[in-house]
Amino acid sequence: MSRLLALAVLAAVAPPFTAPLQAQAIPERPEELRFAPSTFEPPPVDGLRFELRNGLPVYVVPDRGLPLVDVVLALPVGDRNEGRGEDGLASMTAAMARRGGAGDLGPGQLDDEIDALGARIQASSSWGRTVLVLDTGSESLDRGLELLASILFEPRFDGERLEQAKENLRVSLLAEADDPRAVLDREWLRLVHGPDSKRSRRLTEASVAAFERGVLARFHRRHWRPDRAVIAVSGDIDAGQLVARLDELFGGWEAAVSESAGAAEAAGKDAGQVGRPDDGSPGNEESEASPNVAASTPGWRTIDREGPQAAIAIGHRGAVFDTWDDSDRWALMLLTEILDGPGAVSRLRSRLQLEEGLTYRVLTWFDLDVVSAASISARGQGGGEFRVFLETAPETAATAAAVVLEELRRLRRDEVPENEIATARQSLLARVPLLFDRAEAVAGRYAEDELLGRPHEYWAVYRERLLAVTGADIRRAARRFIDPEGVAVVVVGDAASG
Amino acid sequence: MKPVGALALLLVAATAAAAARPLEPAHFTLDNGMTFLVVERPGRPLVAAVWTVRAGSASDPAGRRGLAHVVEHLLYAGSRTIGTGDWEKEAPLLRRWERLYEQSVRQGAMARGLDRVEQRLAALQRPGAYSGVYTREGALGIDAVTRHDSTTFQTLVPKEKVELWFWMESDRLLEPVFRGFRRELAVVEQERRQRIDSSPAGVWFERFDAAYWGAGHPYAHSPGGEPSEVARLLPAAARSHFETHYRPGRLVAVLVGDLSPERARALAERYFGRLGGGGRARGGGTGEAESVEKVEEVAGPALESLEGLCACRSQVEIRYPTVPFEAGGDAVALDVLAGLLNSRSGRLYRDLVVGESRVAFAASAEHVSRRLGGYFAVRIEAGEGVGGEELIPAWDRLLGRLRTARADDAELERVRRQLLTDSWRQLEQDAGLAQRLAAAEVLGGWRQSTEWLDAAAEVSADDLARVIDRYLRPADRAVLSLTRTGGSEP
Repeated sequence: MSRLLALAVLAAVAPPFTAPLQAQAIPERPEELRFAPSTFEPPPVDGLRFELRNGLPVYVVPDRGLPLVDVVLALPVGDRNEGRGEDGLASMTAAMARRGGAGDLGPGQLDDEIDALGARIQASSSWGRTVLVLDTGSESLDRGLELLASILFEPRFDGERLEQAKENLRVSLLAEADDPRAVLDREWLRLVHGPDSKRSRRLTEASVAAFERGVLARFHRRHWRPDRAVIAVSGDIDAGQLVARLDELFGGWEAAVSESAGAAEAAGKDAGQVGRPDDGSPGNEESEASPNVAASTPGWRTIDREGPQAAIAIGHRGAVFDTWDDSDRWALMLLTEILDGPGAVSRLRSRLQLEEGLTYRVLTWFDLDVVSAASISARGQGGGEFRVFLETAPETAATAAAVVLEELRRLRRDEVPENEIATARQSLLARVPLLFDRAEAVAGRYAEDELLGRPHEYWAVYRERLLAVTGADIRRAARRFIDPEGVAVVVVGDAASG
Repeated sequence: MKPVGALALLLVAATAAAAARPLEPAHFTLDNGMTFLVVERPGRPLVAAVWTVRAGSASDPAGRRGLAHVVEHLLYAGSRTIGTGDWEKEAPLLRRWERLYEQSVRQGAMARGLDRVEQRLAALQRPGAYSGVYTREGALGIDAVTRHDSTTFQTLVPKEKVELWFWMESDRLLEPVFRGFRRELAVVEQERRQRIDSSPAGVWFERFDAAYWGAGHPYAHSPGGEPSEVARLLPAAARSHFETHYRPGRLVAVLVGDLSPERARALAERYFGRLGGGGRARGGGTGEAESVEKVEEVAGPALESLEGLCACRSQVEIRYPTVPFEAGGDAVALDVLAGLLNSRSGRLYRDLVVGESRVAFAASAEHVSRRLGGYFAVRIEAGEGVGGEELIPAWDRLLGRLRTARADDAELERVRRQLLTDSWRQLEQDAGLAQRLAAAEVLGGWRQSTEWLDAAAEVSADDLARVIDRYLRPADRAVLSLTRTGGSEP
């Protein structure tokens, strides 16, 4: 049968696409469904940014749908600003600012006021940022903002509450020793970053003992400053009125000129900055072409612990770039997605769960920090971490770890086929709307850009850059930033079964 | 920074009033009985789509605890269209595999030839294909959860591609194929270890559920089930569970996003309208469906207490039996009581965590109300240097003060304000709202969520005193006491 004839026959027996009654027929396969092209673009940032009289940037995204307002104030301050012997101080300062009373209000009064508004105020700190969040009904916004300002400017760090918090931290430390995941975390970070790195230091009895009221107040005075801080507000607000009120409350916040803060300030310019001068940095010996991502102490370590499940972490230091628009950075985003994205594209999930049923969940994390060129050359080590975490039965721990290493080698050896890249790209692009899906997300995302030094244009080129990445690019990035022979593998589990 | 003043204030007040109006989702039921709720939210890039079946682990038959959860997993294995390279070739092999597998489980040893059939199946099957179709089209958040009274499947799908959700979900409900059965049992086992077994306290809470409800009670086992019974499950049992429970009349779908109710209805009729009243090729069977709906007579909780040593903080959970879920009456008063005890200005924190005579690292209260019964739970974890035996007396003293020093107006107002603001927060996220509406619909109608709020606003100090007297009675409680074991104190 000629091809033309075959087409004619098909047309005769399969007219559903033209017959009006069957226009609504259900296609045989989902791939046959035709969709309008996605129209999603991140909303424009124009008109969202305001500045208070002290230069503090405020991103405002009104949404009158519900009588709620979210206010986020972020400072580029965190664990990385802690000195020796100050482990956990940034987090403790944030926690006690909220819990220890503020201004005229004692701790109990502050809690009462916040709760009576039906509001929530939280303060927390991580590696590179401290965040204060006010989440309130709009009718309580004004008082909520006053309380937020009071916590920011005049925390009392009540001594009795501090002692109670320290008691609780000691109890938590004990629980941490019981928790295999916490044990794994601690040990793996130590191997990856070295025992003296800030990245691997964790709270200890000694550091808890060092949390004195004066120490917290000093950290607060020195680091909670408007330099490079940002505010994001979303919800049931009028932008003009809100900014005027913020200006009254936060516009007079000045960068205190304090004694020894100068050096720290210079070093802290980048929110994603890593390391510090006294980290024992060897300087810029490492060639920029092949950054050393290997763990400080590569190798395999088993921590014997009875239990039905073994927890495993595999990996090394993360990647560091001096620009957000580095082609290897885009390639690594796709690589991470291919290795273990949340969709079905994940190679690790396919191997470990779908083929072998070895694990319920694999979690992969690849830090792709961006810092200034000066900080890169001054750094002694990579930024964050590249880590694969999974849990499996103790007797299959070795098999599972071998699968992970095999997949890492494969990324360096073989080019990823285009169809796999396409799926990963689609999956990454699909998550962009989620980053901007509500007013709160939009305000937060653009404020975060400013906090991190990430240009807003990043979102405009996001799609185009991911589309440009090829299999060769991914393999090149894998060879530069993944080092299967330099990984630290830690297994916490029953060694007898392993 | 223009001065705006009074006008803006008025505006704020007006919008607050508007938003305080009860949520009104579009609501329709297909001819086959499947219910849909649609909340249109223009401008949202993704549609949050969930569907729930009114059956969870409480429906697990005796000896098959964990069945509902396993079926939840198997529903991701695809259909005759998705997940296979060639259904015509796969179908007879699957039947053969099933016979051999049943034989293996009965004999307790691998039947001859099972391996070979599995290899041939592996060449035909496409694990992960179901999620793969979604992922390639940019869908996210593909997840499912089995609870005691319901099982829920969630997807976030780009608004332009919402028809894909209708295609995929109706397809797997129409003709699911439970492939990869053995592997899925292994994954379920891993999930259990990760969620429960790897937490020392987790194992105890599971045992406490069994002791509290008593053997044979539908809530006595966790949705994850019993490992030894899960390991012996057969594909036929899974199919039977699916056929009994996954009928259109027992399904509720909720869509929240940039989708009009009219379009949702047209798509729902076209796609889910394909499901027969009793599922395709299974006839109407309404009588049977009703018998499934009927609330079975269940015994009250056994109220057995439990003590144990645990590599965890010393802690207690005190449970008082209450009432099943209801958007009014004592059930709501008990919810408000939990609010009175919780939060930083609540009685638990003030008395037990930071007070003069503090004993606790943390403390919380919760009113758990399900379809077949409820309980009021208080959890207290011991503070530094506090023995587990001090926790119950501390709670009893607090309870005594609760009886004598009744809730004052300021306290009640605080709780009302918190509940109201919380209810708005729950409307903020599309996926969360979809889940909540589905859960409320399963428990007796989505309006329950707004009625509950109205009822909560009416709860008085007298109501609280009444439910404290009626339910929080020392004679009617069960206690889990865990004492920290090992070298370290406390």
